[in-house]
Amino acid sequence: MAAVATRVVEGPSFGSRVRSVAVRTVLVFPALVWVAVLVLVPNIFLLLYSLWQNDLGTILHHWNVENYRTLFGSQVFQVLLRRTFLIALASAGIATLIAYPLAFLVVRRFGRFKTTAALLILVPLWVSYLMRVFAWRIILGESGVLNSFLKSIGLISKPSSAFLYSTTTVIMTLTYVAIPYVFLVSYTALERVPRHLYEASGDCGASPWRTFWSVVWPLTRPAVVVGFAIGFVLAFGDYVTPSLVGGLSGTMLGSIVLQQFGTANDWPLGAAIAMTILATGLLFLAVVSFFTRLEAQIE
Amino acid sequence: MNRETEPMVDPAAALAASPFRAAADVEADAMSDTHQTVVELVSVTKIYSDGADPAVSDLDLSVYEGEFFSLLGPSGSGKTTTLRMIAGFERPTVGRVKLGGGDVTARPPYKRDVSTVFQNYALFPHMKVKDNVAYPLKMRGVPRKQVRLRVNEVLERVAMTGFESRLPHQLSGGQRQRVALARALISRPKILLLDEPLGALDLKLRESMLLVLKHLQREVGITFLYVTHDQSEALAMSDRLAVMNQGRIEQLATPTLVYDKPATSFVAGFIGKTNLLECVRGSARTARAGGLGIQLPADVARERFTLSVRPEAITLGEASRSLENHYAATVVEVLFLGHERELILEVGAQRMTARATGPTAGVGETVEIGWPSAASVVVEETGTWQQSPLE
Amino acid sequence: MSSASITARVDKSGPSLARRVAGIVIKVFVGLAVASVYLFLYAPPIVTAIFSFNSSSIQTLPFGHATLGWYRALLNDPQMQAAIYYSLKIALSAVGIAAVFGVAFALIVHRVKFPGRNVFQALLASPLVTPGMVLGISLLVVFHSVSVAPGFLTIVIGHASFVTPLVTFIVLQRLRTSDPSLEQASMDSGAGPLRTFWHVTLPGIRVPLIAACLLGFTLSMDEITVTFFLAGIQGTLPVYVWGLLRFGFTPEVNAAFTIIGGGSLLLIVIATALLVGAGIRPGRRRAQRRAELVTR
Repeated sequence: MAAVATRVVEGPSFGSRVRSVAVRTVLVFPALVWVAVLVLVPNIFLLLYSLWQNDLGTILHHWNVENYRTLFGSQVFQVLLRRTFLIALASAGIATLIAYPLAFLVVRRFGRFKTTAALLILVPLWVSYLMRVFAWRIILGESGVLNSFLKSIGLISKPSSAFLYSTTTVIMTLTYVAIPYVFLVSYTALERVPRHLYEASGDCGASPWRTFWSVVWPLTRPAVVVGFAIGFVLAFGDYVTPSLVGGLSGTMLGSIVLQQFGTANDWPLGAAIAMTILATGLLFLAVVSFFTRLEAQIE
Repeated sequence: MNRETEPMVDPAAALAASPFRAAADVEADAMSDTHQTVVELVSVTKIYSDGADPAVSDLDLSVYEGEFFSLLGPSGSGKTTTLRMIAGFERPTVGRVKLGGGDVTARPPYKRDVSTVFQNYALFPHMKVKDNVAYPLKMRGVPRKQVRLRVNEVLERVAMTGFESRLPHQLSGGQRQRVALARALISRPKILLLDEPLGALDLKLRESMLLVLKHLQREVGITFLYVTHDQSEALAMSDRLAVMNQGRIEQLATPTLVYDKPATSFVAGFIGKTNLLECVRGSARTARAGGLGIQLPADVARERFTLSVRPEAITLGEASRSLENHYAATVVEVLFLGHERELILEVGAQRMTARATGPTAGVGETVEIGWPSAASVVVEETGTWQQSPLE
Repeated sequence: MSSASITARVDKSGPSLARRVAGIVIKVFVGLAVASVYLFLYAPPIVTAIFSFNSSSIQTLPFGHATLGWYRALLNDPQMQAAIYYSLKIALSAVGIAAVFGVAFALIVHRVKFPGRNVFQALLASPLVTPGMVLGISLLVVFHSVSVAPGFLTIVIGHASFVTPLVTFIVLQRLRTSDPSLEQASMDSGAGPLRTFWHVTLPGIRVPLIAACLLGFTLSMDEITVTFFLAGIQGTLPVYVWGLLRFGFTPEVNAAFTIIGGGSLLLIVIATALLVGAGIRPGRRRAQRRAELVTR
């Protein structure tokens, strides 16, 4: 080993440091392009389109907020907006009221079958949405399954047309769609509550009800709220359900958007409604997450 | 540090005088004349993020061909970081890494002639044993027939013949470790790095693997760089070892030297058990510690220093009367360890630990103790790990 | 507490009869409630399957006789066949794209620390949480403005936009729980980054990747809300069926639904088995993504 007169010590050379930044940029670039083109650009365009005008089928790139003014000035639109909001709220609410207790029961009382039971509830999520909605038409129709069943046990004398093509139908169907989502979120959260907390609470003298209220609920409340929000957003923007089972009285915002992009051929207007839906959804999520975080802080 | 120009020094005096730099000992100097340097770290520092303490600080290290070298230290001492910098998984913030004389600091791990045995073995779970072991050769493009021959050869060496078609999850911990060893050996690297390989094994298995590793290293002749926190492992297996603490080497020497002549109080406390007495110098050869007058093994220049006395160096009972350092102690506690007893004594104003092989005085009783000054070691005051003699 | 009340408590020999009866009643009631929820959830697919064998051509009771006629008609219906074939082509293309890009993005997110990584993940996943209609329309207007007509390409892109994040997050989950020392060992043995990926990383993510592809395939085959806006003249199976449902009806639809439902179910069971065997749950990932995005 040669005697080292002066020790030359350097860190990683400038060249190699630059190289690693360049390499990283090259690697990340496709990802950024993807997200820009498929996520950012479409939403921007949606906004743009809502600010343009429709002229007999062609789009006039004429900036204005006429579409929004038309919408929010229209009485019909206001009513529709309110109805859609309430439908979504009701569906998400009922779904939560059903799914959360169900999740609690599955987690606490099903023992070995817990996972199977949970999967059984989640599997419909992945099976054709169309089928699940349409099947309700078969079940709820005038000569459908439900009516026949009720008639056969003597509850009604003649088939009722009240089950199908109404707001109630829409709410019920959307609830049906939302339950698995809310269940999933609730189940995940409830499963995370360690068993020993229940035991410790009981050991401290709390009844099962008190244990739930003071221990389980606060821990799982954020998740429930999230599930509720998911159910709401799903329902609010839906058009398949109102179109298939809503009839005239069960129309929602989604149905109108469908028209604008179809027969009515007023894309900018449709875009404006879509923007409204998107904005409402985001606003709802923001409010919900604000409250969830707030609660977490309080805790 | 430049070995060739370093003058030959009296080890004890050198240890007493030098700071944290590794104190060369006679044997190591001799080695550098006749052996090649396989690994050399030059002023290596590693800082992980701005503002944090360096994981490794201004480290100089040379490992010679054919030796069994250990890096010993507690967790966080920087030993694993050092190993990873040699393997190529980490880049030094400052400094250079050299393999076989050539600078490899900028070279990625797959271009270094180094093989690592990982702590958790890192066997590829989807490959059979023979494919795991053959992997390095496959990467080097070795023809298939030769691969098969060498795989069989190396499996035989680690006593894993017959396991070729097993999958890793079908093997026990000890078996997995031997496969990992085989995979590392097969490419005949310049140096084998072992990262706490015995950590996951139970005691009996660890003891037998210790011997296996030591014999394997002798037979094959490859340089081993062994990282561990277990000082008994390091002492048992190494030709030389470096005791690391908080990113620095506190002492680099043979196991005997490290044990008998620790350079700092950290080393004294980390290697085996010892009693550390905080001394204030009286004359050149005497000092006071905790109310006791003590004879020192050599002349000391400093005012305050630490004196290390190993428990086994302390004689109990009448036999201690003839020793220079001789005191009356009260027994505080007696611990039965099976092969011997450990006594915790109050001597003067401090506590000391001693050993006895047979029945001793009981708790609360007085006993005479003593040690020859030659059995004690003057140690750095500035060792970074202060420990009580109770450990 | 006085000694008297303590003795009084100790003397009780267990819950009273009334108490026990009430307990049983509650259990029965709750049991029924749970059963009815399951029934509620499964009624539609079961009814559809039953009616697909119904000889009567209107969707009402009374039930005619059981027949496979609709299935036969389905298999002979050229439009239906065209739609199925088209759906398959699209699903395979979308899943193919998603597999490549999904794995690439998972690796990038896992390995490369770049500013805005979390934002990227949220944006990547947003098609999974966006209402289908908004997604469909937003893509449609982009295509329209660059004069790309709705058709095969637009649908594939639309599907890829939500299947890719699915693949990414399932694979990412596996990458995060995998042993980093395996790749180090590979490089230590002399394999460069590309060879390490091929020999060590890829086999590790193979199973979750397959599962994710199966799930993505199912999603694509069933997709209606987004596809409706992106379809041209030739529709995918759900789009075709949608048209039938809105403007006319043939009972073949029930048969089609039953087949699709059965097929999807099979794929999902396989995917679940793969993932549970590998330690992840499928539906959980997707909705957990939605959930996480909201709470972030």
